[in-house]
Amino acid sequence: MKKGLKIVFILCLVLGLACTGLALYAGTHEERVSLIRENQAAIAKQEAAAQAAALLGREIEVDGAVEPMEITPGDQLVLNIYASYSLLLVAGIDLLIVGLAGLAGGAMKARRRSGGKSRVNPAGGILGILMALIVLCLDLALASEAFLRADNLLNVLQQISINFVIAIGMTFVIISGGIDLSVGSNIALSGLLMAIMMKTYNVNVGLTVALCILFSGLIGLVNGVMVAYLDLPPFIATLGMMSIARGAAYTVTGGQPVYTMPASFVAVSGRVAGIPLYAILIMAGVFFLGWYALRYTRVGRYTYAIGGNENCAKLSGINLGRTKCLVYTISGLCCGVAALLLTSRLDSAVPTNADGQEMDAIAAVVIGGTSMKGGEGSMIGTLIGIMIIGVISNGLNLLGVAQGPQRMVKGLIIVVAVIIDVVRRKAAEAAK
Amino acid sequence: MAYLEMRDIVKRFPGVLALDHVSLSVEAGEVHALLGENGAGKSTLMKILSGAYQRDEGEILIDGKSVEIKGSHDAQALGISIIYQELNLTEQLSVAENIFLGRPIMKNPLMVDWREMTRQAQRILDELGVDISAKALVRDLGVAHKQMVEVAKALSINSRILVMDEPTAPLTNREIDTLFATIRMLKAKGVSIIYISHRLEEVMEVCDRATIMRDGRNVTHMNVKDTNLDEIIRYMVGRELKEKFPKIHIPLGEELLRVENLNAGPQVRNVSLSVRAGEILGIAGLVGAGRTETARALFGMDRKQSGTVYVAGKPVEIRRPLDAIRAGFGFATEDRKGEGLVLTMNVGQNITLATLDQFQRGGKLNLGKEKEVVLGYIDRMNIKTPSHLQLARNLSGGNQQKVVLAKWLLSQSRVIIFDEPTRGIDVGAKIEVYNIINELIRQGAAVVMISSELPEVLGMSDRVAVMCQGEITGVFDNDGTLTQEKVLYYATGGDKHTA
Repeated sequence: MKKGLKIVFILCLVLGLACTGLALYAGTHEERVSLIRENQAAIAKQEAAAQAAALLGREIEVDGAVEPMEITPGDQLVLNIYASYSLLLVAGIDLLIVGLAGLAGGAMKARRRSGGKSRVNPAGGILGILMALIVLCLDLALASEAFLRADNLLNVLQQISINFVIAIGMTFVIISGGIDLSVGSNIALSGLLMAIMMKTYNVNVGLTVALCILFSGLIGLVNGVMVAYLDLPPFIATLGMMSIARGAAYTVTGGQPVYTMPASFVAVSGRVAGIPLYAILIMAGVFFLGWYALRYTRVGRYTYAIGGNENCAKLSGINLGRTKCLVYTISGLCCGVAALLLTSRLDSAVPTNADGQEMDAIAAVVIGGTSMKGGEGSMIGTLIGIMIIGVISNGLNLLGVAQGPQRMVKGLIIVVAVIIDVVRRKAAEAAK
Repeated sequence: MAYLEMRDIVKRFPGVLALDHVSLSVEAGEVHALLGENGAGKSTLMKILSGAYQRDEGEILIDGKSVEIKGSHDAQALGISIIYQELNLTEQLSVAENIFLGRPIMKNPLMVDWREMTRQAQRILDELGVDISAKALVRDLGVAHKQMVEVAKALSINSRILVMDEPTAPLTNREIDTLFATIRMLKAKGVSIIYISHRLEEVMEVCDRATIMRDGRNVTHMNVKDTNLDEIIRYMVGRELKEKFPKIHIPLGEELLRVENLNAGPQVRNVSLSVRAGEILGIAGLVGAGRTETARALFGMDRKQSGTVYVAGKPVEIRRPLDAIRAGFGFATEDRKGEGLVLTMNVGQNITLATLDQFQRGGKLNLGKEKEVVLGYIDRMNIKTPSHLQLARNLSGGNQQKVVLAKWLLSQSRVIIFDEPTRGIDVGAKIEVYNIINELIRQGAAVVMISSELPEVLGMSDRVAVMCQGEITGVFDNDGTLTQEKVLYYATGGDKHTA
């Protein structure tokens, strides 16, 4: 490990220890702090009353005036620390973890190197983001008591369900070297279609869901055809589709929302014994299918090959066009499932639904370690990426951060994740 | 007193001693060959010279003064230029802009003096005796001319030390002659040239002295005129290579491949050839003769206009690579990294990429069976990799080539086309590649071997077809009487010379 890096990690450790120490020290004086605070509040109240009386030109009788407590310099220090108690604790523990992880990682790497062989460790990247997720959860648990409560966690689960499903499809697309910007509009259009079919035409719920998921898949297939056979850059093809589908969503209802779905449809996102059972089952099912397809089928292998080196894939007899179409169709089908989850949860369909959803999905995939250049990535990584995005959203909500800053934070996270990807790639090149 | 002295350079990477007290000394006006197999430490040493790496021990002296090279900036200031195999030019810019890249000549702090820059660039190019306009765009130049632009760039910063890494690999014979003339001219100007190449014949021709490295150590220094090829190879490999070409002769079987009047664009015109089981057909020719294009058309990579292909007597219709693979073709391309391998996939996945059907049952890939087969090939072909999960990009050139070959062995190809099978591969690994080719024909495959190295063509082929400008100008039995001169005669037009 580089000396500079080591020093940084050790500094992290020391600072972390100091922060946590301070916070804990302040924590032991909790009683004293609350006493002083009560006292100060009482004095402030008394003074305010006195002022008001003076203003009205009246004298007021004060019985049992509160005496200001004596505040020693030590008390003052504790008070100051206490003001930023949770911040210190969170920062301290984070710094400790970063320092320890950095040093441990460095030591592990050094040992592996000295072993002579460069062992292959595909889990290396995933361990890193898993750590990040754990640290994030720890922070939130410290910063907000509400975070670890069961109902909040279930909430998080339901909030991420949409992103969860489409990020699975997006993983395929990005590994194949492409991108799908049309997912958000696809969800909105498909959701509206579900609502209209059930409400206006009274189509059976099961049939509606099946048809609309297929319809979403069809939108994906069109993306695939544009990319594979018309040689459009994926960015342009899906950007066009994004606008077309969103426009269609506005057109089908003239911009009007559709409310109140059939009960059996809403039940999909309903809770069984307090748990959103069906949503969880659907998420688990989609994840398993995606993971299995990527790892255990030819299509999955071909997706990696096309993203890694299209020429070589072609030369090895892989049908590029068919594989690409399949990849975008998978992404489309995922949108259909997401539309089902979203529309049933909201019990309504609005043309503006899932606006900007592509951002969250891409962010989850990229944070999960999938390379924007294609060819590298994993479903497990995406899973962790989704959870990181979900936990961050939830945390910002709990801490009362407004929507505007929330989007700024998400944008920043994507940029940072890609920077990490680029830096890691360069380091791997240099190590060769 | 040598102009450049690198003394007892030590470079450690974690767990590896990459350079172990390596010394190199180059006189002014000398062409000095730096030789060694891949992984011998040549590149590391040159990276230390260029400032990309820092040495752990040792000393670098230029003109007798000890110097520190902390980065490319220092290297440039000390007059050190390196021309890498992958040229370092900006395609969209003009020749003059490339030559003065990063230090344009300014009229005033805001405006570039284009006229002066073009004039100076042209002067350097003229001095080099190359026919390039300083105003031309680099992307419009051929490889040889691009290389000259790099040389001009080096001259423009008054380089006293010029490192050339495999400069002749992409060049045709005539272009190589021009390059050598330039090298001799630079030499006369007192520039020290460090010449890295696997093509030892050229080293013998152009270099004065040689430093040979092996496993991160100096093996020996020698005067090139006092030695011979065999001795150099012995030092490089550290063992005696009995034969450079382990040619075997086996009884030929039925005709496996027959091509009649293949046409595909201007580079492939009326090509007819045939190869029998157990036979190696060498295809010789200059760069641009249409050899690679013929192979690509055969394999369905490029569209063919007309012509019939027979495999084992039956006509086959090949429209895309998949058809070719099904018909029993394999194609180890010239460009391993660009076409042969998916560098982001692991060794095992690369080996099975063309044959995943074999490992599939009911839509599920049998990863256990895949691993078993892959490990078998890694062992059999002596692929040096810590594990079948190692990414292909982390292997050396020779081992990457073996992975490509394993892919086509696994697909049971009966007609295998090799395009430059040993390009950029070190001497030891070359022999292994030849042995794999031998095993293929022993198993009854027909091999088409395209190569620009005439000794290789003559050393390994049973028959040799020579191409020129998209046509086959001659096919000869390689019975010992075929000479390089004769092949070259046909490669430059053959009987058209007299016509």
